[in-house]
Amino acid sequence: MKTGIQDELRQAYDSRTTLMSRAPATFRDRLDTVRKALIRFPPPPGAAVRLLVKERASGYWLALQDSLSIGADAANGLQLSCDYVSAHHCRLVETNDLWRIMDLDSANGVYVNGTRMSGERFLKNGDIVQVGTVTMIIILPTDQGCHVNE
Amino acid sequence: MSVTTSNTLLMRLKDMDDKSAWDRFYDLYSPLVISFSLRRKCSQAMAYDVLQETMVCLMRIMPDFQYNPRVGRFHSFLFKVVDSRITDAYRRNRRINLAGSETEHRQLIECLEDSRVEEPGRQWDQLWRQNLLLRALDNVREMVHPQTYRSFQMYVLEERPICVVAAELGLNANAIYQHKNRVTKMLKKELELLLDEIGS
Repeated sequence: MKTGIQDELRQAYDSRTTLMSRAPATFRDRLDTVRKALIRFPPPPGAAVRLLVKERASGYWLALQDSLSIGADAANGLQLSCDYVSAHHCRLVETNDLWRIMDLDSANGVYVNGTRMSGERFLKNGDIVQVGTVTMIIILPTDQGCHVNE
Repeated sequence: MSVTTSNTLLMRLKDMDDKSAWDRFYDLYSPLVISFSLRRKCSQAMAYDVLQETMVCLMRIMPDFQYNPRVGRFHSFLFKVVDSRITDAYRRNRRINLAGSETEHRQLIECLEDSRVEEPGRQWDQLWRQNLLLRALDNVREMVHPQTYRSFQMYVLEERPICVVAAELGLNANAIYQHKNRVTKMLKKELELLLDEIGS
């Protein structure tokens, strides 16, 4: 006669393939980067979607409205005066609470979570965007990014 | 069994600088979040998205999180966070697929509706418990002789006949029963320790 815990364990053991599945190690490192960034640069309070713009030791937060153009040209909403940034490099656009990033055919590309993207893609809470030597992290406000369906 | 989360790990998570606490939380819960998302018919990429958004969400709220077991269990709160992130992942995916064919779009909506048919809360509770049991089993495996674990694995987990286990491992039935009892006892102890750390 087997005990209850053994029955439970057997069921768990049968599901072990999915229950032991783990994300790649780089995934954990990325989350650690976000955690450290949030410690070093605590997001300002408020309901805005924010972008942490980091270059070397400095960093600052931008509140995003409905779109943001990024590039070396002064006409951009976010002008980045550093190497490897095209005049009109990329654009962030919001549609129905979802943010997308579009590469505007930049010479050196846009990297999202370490992977060079092409065209456009949706961004999620905590995504890390690399443009030239600048790192940006998108952070949703707690009431949006951490809302709970009741 | 009641499932409430103790203060120990939660209190530590209030300190964003406590890397070991965040690593521990990730080690314990990331397989649960991934497997639950997969059960809810998310793709692997979507499951990773759900994990990322859940962790970032917790980074934002844990420093100010006031845990009150009388109000609710942490693991129930975590379920709601994860469940909402799954909904968001489907929303995003639906937008991505809007440019696709009508059939693709319909399949995606059906997939979302299907994932709502079963009781997600019950699924989550079951996976949460199974996740802990497997962690406890992992710990016990490292503490016992490989042959002890192997006989437990074959006889209890794989339900192989005792005569087969005995023949394969060169043991008598009595030794196999002893291994079973010993590992089960250690397993219960490990489970208690885990529950004490993250939930009781």
